[in-house]
Amino acid sequence: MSLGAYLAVSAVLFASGLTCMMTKRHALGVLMGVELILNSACLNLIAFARYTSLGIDGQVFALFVIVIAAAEAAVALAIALNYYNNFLTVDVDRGDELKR
Amino acid sequence: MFADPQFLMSCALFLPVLWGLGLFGFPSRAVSAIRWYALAGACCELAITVQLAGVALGWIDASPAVNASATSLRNDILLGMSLPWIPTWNVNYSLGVDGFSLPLILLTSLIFALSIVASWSIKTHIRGFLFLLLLLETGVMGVFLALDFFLFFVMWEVMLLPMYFLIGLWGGPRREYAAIKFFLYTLAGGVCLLMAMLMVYSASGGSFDLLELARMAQGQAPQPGMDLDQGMALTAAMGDTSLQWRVFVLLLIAFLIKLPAVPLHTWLPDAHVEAPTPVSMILAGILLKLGGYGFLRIAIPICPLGFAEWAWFMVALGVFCVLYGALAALAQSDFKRLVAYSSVSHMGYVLMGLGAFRFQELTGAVLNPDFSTMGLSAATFQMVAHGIVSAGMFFVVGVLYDRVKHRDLRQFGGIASLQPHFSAIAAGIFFAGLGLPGLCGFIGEAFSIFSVWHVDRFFSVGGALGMILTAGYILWALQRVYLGPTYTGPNREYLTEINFREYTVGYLLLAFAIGLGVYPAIALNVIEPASRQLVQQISGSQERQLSLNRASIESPLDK
Amino acid sequence: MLAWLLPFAGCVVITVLRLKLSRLSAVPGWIGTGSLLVAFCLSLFSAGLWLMTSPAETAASSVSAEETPGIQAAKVGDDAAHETGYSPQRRLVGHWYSLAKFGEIDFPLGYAIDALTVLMFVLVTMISLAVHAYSLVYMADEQTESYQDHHLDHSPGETPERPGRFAHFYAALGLFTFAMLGIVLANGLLQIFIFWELVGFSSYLLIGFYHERRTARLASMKAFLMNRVGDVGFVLGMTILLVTCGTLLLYPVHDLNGNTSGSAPMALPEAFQAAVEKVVPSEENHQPTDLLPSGQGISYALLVAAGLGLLAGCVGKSAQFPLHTWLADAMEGPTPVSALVHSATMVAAGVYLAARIAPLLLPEALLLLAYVGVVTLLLGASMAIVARDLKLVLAHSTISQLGLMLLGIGVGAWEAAIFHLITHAFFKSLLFLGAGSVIHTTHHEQDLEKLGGLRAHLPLTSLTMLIGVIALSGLAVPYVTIFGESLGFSGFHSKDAIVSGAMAFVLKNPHHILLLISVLLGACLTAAYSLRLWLKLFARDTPVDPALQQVHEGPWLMTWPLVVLAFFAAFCALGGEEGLVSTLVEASLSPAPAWFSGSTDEVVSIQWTNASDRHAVHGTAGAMALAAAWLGALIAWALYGLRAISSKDLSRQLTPLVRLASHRWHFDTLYRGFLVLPILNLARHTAWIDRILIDPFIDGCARFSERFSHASQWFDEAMINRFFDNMASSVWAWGLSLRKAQTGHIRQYVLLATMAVIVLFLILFAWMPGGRAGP
Repeated sequence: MSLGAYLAVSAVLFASGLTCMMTKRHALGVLMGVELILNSACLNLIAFARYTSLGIDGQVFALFVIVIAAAEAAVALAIALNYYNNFLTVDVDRGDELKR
Repeated sequence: MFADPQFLMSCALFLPVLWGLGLFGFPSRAVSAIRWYALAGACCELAITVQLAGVALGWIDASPAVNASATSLRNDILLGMSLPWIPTWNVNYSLGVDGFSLPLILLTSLIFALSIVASWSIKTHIRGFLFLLLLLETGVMGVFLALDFFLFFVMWEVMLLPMYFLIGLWGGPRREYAAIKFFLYTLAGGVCLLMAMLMVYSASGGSFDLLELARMAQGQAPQPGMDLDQGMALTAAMGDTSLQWRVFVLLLIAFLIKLPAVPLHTWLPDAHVEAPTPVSMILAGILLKLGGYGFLRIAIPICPLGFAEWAWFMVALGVFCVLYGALAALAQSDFKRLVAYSSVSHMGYVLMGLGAFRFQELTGAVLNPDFSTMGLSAATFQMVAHGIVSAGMFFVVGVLYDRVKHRDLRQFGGIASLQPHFSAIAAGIFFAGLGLPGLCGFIGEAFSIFSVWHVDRFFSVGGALGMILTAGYILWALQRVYLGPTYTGPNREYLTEINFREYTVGYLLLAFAIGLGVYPAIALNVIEPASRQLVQQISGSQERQLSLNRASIESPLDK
Repeated sequence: MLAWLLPFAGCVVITVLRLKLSRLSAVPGWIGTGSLLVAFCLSLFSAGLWLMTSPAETAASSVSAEETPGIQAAKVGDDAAHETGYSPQRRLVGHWYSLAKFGEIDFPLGYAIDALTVLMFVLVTMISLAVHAYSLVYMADEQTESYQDHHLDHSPGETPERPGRFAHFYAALGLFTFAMLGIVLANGLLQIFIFWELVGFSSYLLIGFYHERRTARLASMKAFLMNRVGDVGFVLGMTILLVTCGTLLLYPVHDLNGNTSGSAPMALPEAFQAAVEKVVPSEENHQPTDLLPSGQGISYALLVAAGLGLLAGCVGKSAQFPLHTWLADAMEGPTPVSALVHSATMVAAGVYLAARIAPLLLPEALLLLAYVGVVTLLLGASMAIVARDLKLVLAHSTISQLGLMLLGIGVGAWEAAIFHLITHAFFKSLLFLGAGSVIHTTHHEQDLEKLGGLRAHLPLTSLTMLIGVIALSGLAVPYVTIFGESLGFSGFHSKDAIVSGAMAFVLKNPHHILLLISVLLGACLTAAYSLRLWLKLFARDTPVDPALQQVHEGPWLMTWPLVVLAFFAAFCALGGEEGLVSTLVEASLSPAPAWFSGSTDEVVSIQWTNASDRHAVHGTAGAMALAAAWLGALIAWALYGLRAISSKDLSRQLTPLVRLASHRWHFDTLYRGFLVLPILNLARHTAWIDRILIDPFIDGCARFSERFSHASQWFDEAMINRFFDNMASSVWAWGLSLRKAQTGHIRQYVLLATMAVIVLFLILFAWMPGGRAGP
């Protein structure tokens, strides 16, 4: 397996995460898109750690990303929960309070 | 202590304002007490100035220590003192008295005392009025006493403010206009004075001392003891003709406004008409003299070369003022305005006398120095005489106005039969203004006319023609006001004979008018040495300048 | 000198006492009269002293002892004489104090007493005394609280009342006498000028005495102003003399031994002569003028102008053409005033001065003076002949007689002129007091047409006035002498002297014949009008107007002055030119300067006469003058006495001339039109300049700066502020418009971010082809 294959998988993952973020109106859907993008980045980091001189640094970084993603997911779920409490919906298009 | 000139001069300067501060210790209801207190202050001031005159003229021995300290100044002035004031800028608190200022100082304290007596007719806010009057007196005294250009300028501006309020608060219906006009005119003059002062200051290497400046302008070392070489550079800067010319023009404008000379005179009638009587007395009696005094103390001594070029113009302007003022007075129908224009006319004689100089073309010496001396003395004397006469005339008008509440000459007539006694006093004062011999107006006029003949004979002719016009308007005014069938105009029932207070003022002024007219030498003997000295200074500086010019023409290679 | 101070003291005392005394009291009058009486006695005494000591040179000390001790005084004998050979003059010259002193130029006040001074003192004090006494009665109606002035033309219904002014009158009279004596006594032109003006001032007070009357007010003002016009000349003349000669003293000051003290300045006549001597040769050589020590050139014309200037003063004071119009108007004053001030003394001051300064007058000035005199003589006489007012006749006659005196000075006969001055003073004051007595008793009736036939009622007045008239017209009985005297009154002698002076002058300078003819014509006219006056007043036995039946002589205080004056009018000139008065005059006047002794002059060639020339023609001249006078008298007699010719017919035939003369030759109109109104107009325009030009200019400046400040305020607000405001608001608006992009839709943001990344990559690859963008 070459680096290119990993990168291609990662790109697909990234693209599908992005698409998910753009198309899903459900807040949890968007959150899933974000997770996908984060995972594609992790995959990239690990691939670069394996095939280039990045070494162990890339893997450490990937671990950080996973930790942060977990934290982020916790925060985002809390936001989504509050959002739902306030608006009785989880449709992100309806939440344009910050615009005002 | 009372023979110490330093103390006396400072006292003369600051007593009025300090005394005036005491006024605020009185409750504002105690009108009578306030008046008597202020009058007492003015009398003290008068006593001090008389004492000062005695010391200055050597009638009273000054203490020996002072004599020793003043000897260095004695060549130029009668009495002098100097203390550092703002050493950083070389500003000194220096006062002095000489033949020019002494008569005017005496006149000032006299007229102020009389005008305080005359201000019994002021009914509103008497405390503030008298305080401003006393503050004004300090300012005037300061101008007459100052021997330091900076001090002179400060005092010049100090006078301005009280005068503004005196006219603007206690004046007639158009008082605000008149006050602001007076203020702006004088301020314009003050700006010129300031500019001239700064020019001189920089040219002389940082000196405000008028005596030093005068010496430098004449091409001598600044200090009497100083070696000539040391002061040479400074002296050269001050002796520069073009600098002196420019400075003189600035000073000319400043003092002509105050005098006032014709194109710059229109503040005077307005200010007089609106000002209350005591203020008119002071304005005409004292403040106009500051212009003439400024020439004698500053403009002529420190710019002799500039003066030499402008002397002719001054005489011409003086003659013009005489005729113009007299003609304008002839056409007035307001009594007070007429008297105001008579001031313009009379001050023209001062200007004539001041400029009575002619120079020899070759050597630059003053031609006929005796006549120039006569001119300067006549100008000073005319200032004193006019101080008495015009104060008297305004007092007369004020007394009349207090009773009938109008000043329209066309409605007067026949006052003499209702106030015979007062009319006699008024006639005496007006005839003094007319220049009747035996009264003080004559001496200044006659000698001014005598002295300008050698400048140009047409000036004498013009001045003499002014005598006819003067007689014309004064007689006509007297005739319209006092003579004729018994007065039937407005407020006839109030037209009573004057009271004791008014007699006092009237008789005092008349007595001085007669005294100075019969024995003018009492003033002229004081003035004459000072004017002779000034003539010598001018002559010397002009001669020196011409010889320098000739030297530079003859031997250009030396340069 | 004490005599001089007394009237002044009287004046002061009266002025002071006026405060205390009631208006009803006559005390001021008695004080004034008393002081003058003492003054008169003193001057008589000093005159006596003077005469007694005159031959002795050593008299000086005794005379000066009579003066106030302590004053340096000395008789000046032969000081000026030794150079030019004049007859020695006795003169006391002294010095009181200096008015002012500028370097070399000194203005001392002092006195110079010589025979003429003493004579004038006696004259002035005497006439003044007479007038004072006379006025005690004449002005008695002023001693009241409510004086009713019937001449007031203002309110027709009621006669306005005013407090009487008796004390005022005496104060002014005393001041006048003081000033007049001051002129006589003064040494130095400036001092003369001082008293000269004081005389004018007191005359102003006296003319305007009835100042409730409009005419009196105007007359007093006119008199003062006219005098002032002349005085301008006086001042200028003094100025020229001061510049050229350096002094204004008439006579040098001497100490007791007759020596000038070391630094004593030259007196005017000598200094003037020095100036003239400097100037004349330089004109001959056509070279630029000499330089005086003062460094200024003197031109001959300047010296002439000095003389002319001084003469202008004389002309003004003596009411000569063209300044004569004030005198007739001055008759508005009380009649005793007219007698004292406007006939006998004040107007004579001009002549007196002209005689005193005669040595300073160059021939041109003198000639002009002579012609002025002649013109005035004829003008005055012509006006006198047609005047209807009693006092006006006398006033015009005064003008005319003064013209005669100036003519005398102009032709060089100044002794004669002064002689005539003295005689004229006596008979003219006599005539005026007589007229006053008529006016007083007829309750202020002055119209000659209404008066008449008063002889029976006023015998003394008519007799004394006849003496005066005869003296005035210079009548005498020819070729009859009593006790070696020709039978004529004083006027005869003095007029004779002047006529002979004129004749001698004309004989030497035939082309000035007009002078002589005019003098003779004047003499003729004088006789005619003076006789007319008397005939009109007194000729018929019964009064023309029944209202005049009640008139009677006044009390002794009024008649005695008349008698005394009549005595002097008749006999003061006893002895003619050899008489006492004339000799005294001759002894005191300045001798003729060098150019009078026959030397010709460059500008006007005039042969000057001297006393012997005049003496030679004296007989002929006297005869001619007498003939002329008789001719005039006969005409008057024919017209008004016998009524042989109807005076109305005559005047109808001469209508234009009469009308012209009775309008006083339209001088007043002329002056009003050409001088007074233009000056007033000029004045109005001057005030207009102030009001319309200068003031608005200043106000305009103020308004301009106000406008300017408004403009700068506008600029601040409209330009600068708005620029920044606009900037702020445009930033605001931009922000608003940008806000629209913020939809708040997260998915849109993501889309946009993605697209932006894609675009960026595209740009990156487009700009950097060859795949070098990668690491």
